[in-house]
Amino acid sequence: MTLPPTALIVEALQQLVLPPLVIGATLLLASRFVARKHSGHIAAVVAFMASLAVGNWLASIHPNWWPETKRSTWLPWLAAAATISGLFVRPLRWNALGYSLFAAVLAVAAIRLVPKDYHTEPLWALPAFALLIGLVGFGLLHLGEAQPGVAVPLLLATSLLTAGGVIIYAHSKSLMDLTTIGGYALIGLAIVAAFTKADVGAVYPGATLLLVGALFAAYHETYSDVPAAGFAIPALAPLLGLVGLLPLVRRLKGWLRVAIVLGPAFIALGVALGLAMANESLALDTEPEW
Amino acid sequence: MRSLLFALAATVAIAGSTFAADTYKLDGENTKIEFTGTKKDGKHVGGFKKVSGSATDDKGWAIKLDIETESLYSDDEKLTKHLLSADFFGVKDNPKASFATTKIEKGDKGYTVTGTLTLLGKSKEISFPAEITTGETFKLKAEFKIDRTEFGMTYGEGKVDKEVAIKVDVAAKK
Repeated sequence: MTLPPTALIVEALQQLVLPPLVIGATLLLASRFVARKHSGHIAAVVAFMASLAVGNWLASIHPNWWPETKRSTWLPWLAAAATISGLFVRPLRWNALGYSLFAAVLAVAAIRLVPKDYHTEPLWALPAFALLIGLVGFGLLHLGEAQPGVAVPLLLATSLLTAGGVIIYAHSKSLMDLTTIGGYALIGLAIVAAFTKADVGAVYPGATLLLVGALFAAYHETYSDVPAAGFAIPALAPLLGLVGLLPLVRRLKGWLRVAIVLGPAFIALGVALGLAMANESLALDTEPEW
Repeated sequence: MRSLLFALAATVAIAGSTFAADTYKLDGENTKIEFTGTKKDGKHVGGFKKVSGSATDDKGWAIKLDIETESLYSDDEKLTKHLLSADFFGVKDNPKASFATTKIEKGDKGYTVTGTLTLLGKSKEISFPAEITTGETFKLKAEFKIDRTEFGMTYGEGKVDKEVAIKVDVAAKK
């Protein structure tokens, strides 16, 4: 396996890794000192949105900022809007408002992220897209409430980072940048949550929309030999973590419960990345592609 | 009656040959479109294999060209895949690019071609100098630059140059 050139690694660290990680960790840590109640949710949502904005600026993903026709220009805005719906559901518990906003975000996402070809054929594509985001996003939100701490943000972070890996093997840099930024923002949150047992659940619907939306867009937009399963598995893997909602698993304590929530999903994510790496290659050992 | 019909047919034929426009069919064989993208430490060359259109002389020249963006090629196989993605040409959502002239003017040093270039669904008027010769074969040679970001191709700003050099070489027989 060839490592990327040093300059590329440094650039990635400066633009995609450290800023969101530091923003996520710092904001969550700071929020614990300011106000304990509900602070994790608000800090997580602010950190997630700030990370996307800073990452977009540093990496020049979309210099015009305002969404245009490209899906990658809509993704961060829709993900940010979905995190706000998460805030309404938790901690405010204005469920009707939260779910209504989320439904509205999904409606826009269906138009802006899902290619027209999939609006009618196959018939299940659009409902499956919306259902998956809703199920994973709010399923993890409930799991995070039952099991606050490192497990759930780490599960979503790993899914986003694996998605980024699959997407770069499919030769789409902008979508990879976005999932990587989201992933490292959640890693920052997970590090602090590991020690403080903070619940950062409000961010999960938005992070899930980013995850599923980026993978769907990459599957449609790219020309590569990465198989469809390579794109589907990282989107579906967080579902495996919902096993943590089962009463049997909820009764378990400590790292065993974390392992049961994370283990199967991590194995699935490894398979997805393996599929991408086995079927495509990157031009890292020669001249870097654009 | 027979001679009257013959005269009528001859008149129509002569009129047809006098007023019919000269049309040259353009395709991937006789029309080469290449682009050169540059960055700080290098450059890449690419082009399109499939184009279709026409060059017509009907009280002045008019050129129409459709480009099948999926036929894109480059000097690097992996780069080709990246160029096909939404970072650049977004071929799945924009399978065609097109160019249609609005004005072709003859000057002292050749022709100036003005027309509408549609790329990534965005249309913009561009103008470039060209050498044009006509006769049995329509020939057009042009080299010019466009700003890719004006068409929404904003990926890699600061790393990949905004300006892309375009080279057009047409040699189409009637």
